[in-house]
Amino acid sequence: MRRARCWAVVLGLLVGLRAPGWARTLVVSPQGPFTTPAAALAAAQAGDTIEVQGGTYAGPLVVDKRVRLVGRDWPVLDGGGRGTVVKLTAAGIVFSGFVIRGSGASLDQENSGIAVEAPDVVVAHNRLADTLFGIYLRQAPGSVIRGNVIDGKALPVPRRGDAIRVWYSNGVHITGNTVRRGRDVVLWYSTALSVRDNVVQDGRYGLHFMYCDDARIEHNLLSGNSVGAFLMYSRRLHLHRNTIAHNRGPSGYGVGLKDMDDAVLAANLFLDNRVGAFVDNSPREVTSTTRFQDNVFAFNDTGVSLLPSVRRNFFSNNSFIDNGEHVQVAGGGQLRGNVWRGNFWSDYAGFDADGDGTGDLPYRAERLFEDLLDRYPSLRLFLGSPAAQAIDFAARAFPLVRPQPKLVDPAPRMAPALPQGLPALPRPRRWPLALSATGLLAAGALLALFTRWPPRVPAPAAPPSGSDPMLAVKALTVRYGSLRAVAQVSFEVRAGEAVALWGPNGAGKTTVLRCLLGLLPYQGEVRVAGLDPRRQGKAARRHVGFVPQELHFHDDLSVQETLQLYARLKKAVPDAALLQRLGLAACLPQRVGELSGGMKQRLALAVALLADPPLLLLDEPTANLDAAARQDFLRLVAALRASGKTLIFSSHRQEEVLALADRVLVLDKGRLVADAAPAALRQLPAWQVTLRLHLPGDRLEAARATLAAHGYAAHRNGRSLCVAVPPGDRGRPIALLLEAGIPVPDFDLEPGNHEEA
Amino acid sequence: MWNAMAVVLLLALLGAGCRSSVDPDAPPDIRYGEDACDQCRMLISEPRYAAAYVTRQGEVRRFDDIGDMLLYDAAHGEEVLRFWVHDYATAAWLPAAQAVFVYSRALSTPMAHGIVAFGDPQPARELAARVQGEILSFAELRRRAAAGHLKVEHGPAGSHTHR
Repeated sequence: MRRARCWAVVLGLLVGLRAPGWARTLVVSPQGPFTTPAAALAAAQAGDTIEVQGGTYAGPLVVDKRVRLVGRDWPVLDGGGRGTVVKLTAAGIVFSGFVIRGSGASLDQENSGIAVEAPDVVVAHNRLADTLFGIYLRQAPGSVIRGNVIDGKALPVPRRGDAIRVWYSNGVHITGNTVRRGRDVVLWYSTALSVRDNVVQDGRYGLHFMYCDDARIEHNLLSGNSVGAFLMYSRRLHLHRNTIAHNRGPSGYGVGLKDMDDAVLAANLFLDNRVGAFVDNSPREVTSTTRFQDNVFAFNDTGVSLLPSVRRNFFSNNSFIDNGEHVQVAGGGQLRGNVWRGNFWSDYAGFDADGDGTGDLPYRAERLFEDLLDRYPSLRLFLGSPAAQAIDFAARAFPLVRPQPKLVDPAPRMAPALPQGLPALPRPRRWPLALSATGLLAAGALLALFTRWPPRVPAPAAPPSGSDPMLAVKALTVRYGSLRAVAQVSFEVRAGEAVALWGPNGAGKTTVLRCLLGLLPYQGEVRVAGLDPRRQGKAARRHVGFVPQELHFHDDLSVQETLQLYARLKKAVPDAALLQRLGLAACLPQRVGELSGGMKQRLALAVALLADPPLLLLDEPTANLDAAARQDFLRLVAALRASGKTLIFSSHRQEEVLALADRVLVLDKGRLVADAAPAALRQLPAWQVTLRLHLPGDRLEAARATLAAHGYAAHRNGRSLCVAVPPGDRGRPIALLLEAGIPVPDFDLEPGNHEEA
Repeated sequence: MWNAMAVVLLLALLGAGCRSSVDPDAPPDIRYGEDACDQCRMLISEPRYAAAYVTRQGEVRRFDDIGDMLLYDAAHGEEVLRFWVHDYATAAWLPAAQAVFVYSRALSTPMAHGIVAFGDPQPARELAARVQGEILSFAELRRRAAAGHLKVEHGPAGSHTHR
């Protein structure tokens, strides 16, 4: 009897505690053996796998055992518009591969697609549609939400539920999900969360954190929401390498920080939001800080907005690029106790004489109009208008009304630093070039008829009429402290001319170009198509396309996205024929980071030509190109010149000047030393170069005689022979010597004519 | 140029000086989905949780959560003519002094304060029983807020406290 009881116990243990290897797979399909997931669940034991094959199954489903539920061929679980569709209430469940749809619509009851109420559950690779809340974790620590696609119910935003909600669930991983048209992604009362590689679009709050310490938010795309991420009441949150773009709701923060302590925001891209980052009472505690480093704030209405009471925010190595207002003091007042150092400011007007990459003068944000704007936000209507420029002009002219600087960056960067490897922006939805490159031209007419975007395209700026010059510069002078970078330079350029600014590095070429764009303060007078770029900057710049020496594109955007971005800013539509001509039509889907230097330069040219300006400024356009790419680019520019564009370009390459320019303005130490046709400059000492030939000592005289016989006046200089050569003729003396049997073991080319000097 | 400056400055003065008069006996306007909460700066989206008060100077403060109004009131101490809340059942405005409040951590309100208001005590009692909540008057809630007792604790493993 006792033995029989023993065997019964052993058998019971074997049945109740099966080894993992004994786990079964139960198959659910419309044909059986199980026809519903619930029936399979009733028969399953912990550790079993339930494979649900394609078909539609009625919800709700409550999973209360530790099983793996795996969908094959996208089985549908349909809640029929009532309650929550799937509840997972046992630890360690894996739930993947299903289509979940049709939850109820009760906000009070928080009807959800998938509700998780147990730890260590994995919800992966499901598709949720027409559910009020998407995936809802309550007291589910250690769970994983991975690779799901969640589309919210088609309801007004206040009546939607949250696409993902995490509630009292520490250590949750949310990775690689795509969320569209939810209300928020809510993460509350949960520590050590990881949020990576997700896309959240077209909702209210892309992410809403409250009471979530030690979270890491990395490599997400938060785009087209009312607010990208609102981060509140948490500590030690790290926001790294995210793309936060086009969040333009009524407040329109890319990121809002409220009562956050020791947050670190690094290497993020804040693009085209109303406000890139908003800082309210953060950090909250006197012993904590907030760090903004290596971020890019570009093309936002406001880059960063801070309440005047905030302290201990450190901004280092960020790039502020063409924001309507880089930094705003919300409500006006003075910022104190924050640190700004080593940031790039696109409106910085200083210089870098020692070439160490850091400006030699501090950057000061002290525009009077911005000061007024911070106090009276309704004045934003006038931002960029002649009235706003008049106010800033008055402040410069009459220092009595000059505002206190909002901030001073003592060591501004001269070039922006763009973080790499960020999430790419979404494909545009109303982009006229979404058609394939080959169809561009054929589709052009149809697109012109049907496209709704952009809504308003200003007409291309017309060249000046009659005998007015396209550009007139009188007594232009620029000082950097005690250094006079440009001194009393005057010239005119007529429509259709191609004019080169030529001179060695430091001659003042780039400074002159920046004055023409109205980017630098100067003395004297500049008129672009009759307009003053300082007082009528916007109108003047409509006439100008600019190709800078250093290109500042975002490597992760495609060519198409880049053009879309700039087209939106310029309220222009790209010309498909132009893209074809520039050789860009075929590489529209390509990432900018994958382009060669030559193709990037073509992209810069396309951007400059977006609004079809009559005047093109190019700053050393081929400085970073190899010989072949240089020739290709010059051919494109020559074609533009032939089409009637007015060109002004700076260069220190003589062959470029000879190939493109009708006139050359020779600059030397900021002064205009010659204004003539290229041919007339051949005799100018600064125009020539000296060829220094290192020859065997016993052949020096013979070499000098050989060169003299061909009209070259060579002179000895130690063990070498120097001869002045004009551009285009630099190799001929060497060829003559070799023909005469005189070896040329080595040579140097040096600027200027040493003999004349 | 000076004309332009004069126009801008005039508009600035007008913008600063114009303030519509507010009737404290009428519920204030909230543009849902557009107005931001004066306490947390988030958009006010859901009427039944929204609250507001009118100051003696005729200014309106708007909130997305009754708890945020209480915290703001406690922190700023403005002279308030009337506090307004919404009936949780009907989403109608009602003066806070005439409302009955249910306070429970189980109530999921926009800023997690767990406070909702009712004009009729009966549904308030039913909800309180369901969510194990307290029935409180507005005066008691203000007293708790002023004493720093109205707070949201951090989660089970956390330490952050929102006062």
